[in-house]
Amino acid sequence: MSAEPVAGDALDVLFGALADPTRRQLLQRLLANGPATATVLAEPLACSRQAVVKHLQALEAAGLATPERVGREVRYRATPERLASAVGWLLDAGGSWDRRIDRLRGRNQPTRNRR
Amino acid sequence: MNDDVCVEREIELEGSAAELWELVATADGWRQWLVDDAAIEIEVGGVGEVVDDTVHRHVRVVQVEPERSLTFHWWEHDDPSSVSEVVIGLVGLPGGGCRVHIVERPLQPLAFARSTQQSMWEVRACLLALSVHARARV
Repeated sequence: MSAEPVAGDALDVLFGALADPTRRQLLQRLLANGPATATVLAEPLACSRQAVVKHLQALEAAGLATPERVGREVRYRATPERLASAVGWLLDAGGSWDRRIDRLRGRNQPTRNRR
Repeated sequence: MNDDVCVEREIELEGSAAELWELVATADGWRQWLVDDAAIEIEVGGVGEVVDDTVHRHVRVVQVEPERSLTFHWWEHDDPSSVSEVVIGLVGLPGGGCRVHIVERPLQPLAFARSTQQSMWEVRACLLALSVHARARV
């Protein structure tokens, strides 16, 4: 199984997608109930199918869901593996570099620190 | 390559690029901040090993531009698929000092060390935390 990259500045795109409550609700339903079409997902929501499609496309761009064509339908499936692997790597590597930067700073007096 | 999954850090330090290059491009320099132990010649094509927080890694030096940038690949001893590329760049600042820019990105698709089921629970926990946070702000 391959992991698609999380697009853009990884964590920003990822959490940007998850910052919207409707998208979180959609993702939770996909996780709980399995793949579903935009039409089915729109039924209990107070928004149009087109709005749901846009939300699903945002989840897809963040690597959190993927469309699958089944006959004439397009069903969306949650892809949490990508989230877990990308976030796990980013947190691990980021923490390691923070510690290294601290040690490097200890070797020197920083004039400014960014990021 | 995972073009968009990367860790990036930047820091501005006192000292010239030449002084900081000693920390960036020598095994002794690496031992002072980058890793716990290093056995490698920092030259193009150079290979060696480092110990990084108890993890043994193989290292291959890819590109060296003295006092400007160093590019190397490293991967865990027992997991070649963990290979990632590290680029450490130095830029001298007009008023003195030096900017150190570091980027690490995985070169292979990120491996799934965890089961899908565990991943799902991590995502659920993430969603729950975000929901609680959103409610707390209302």
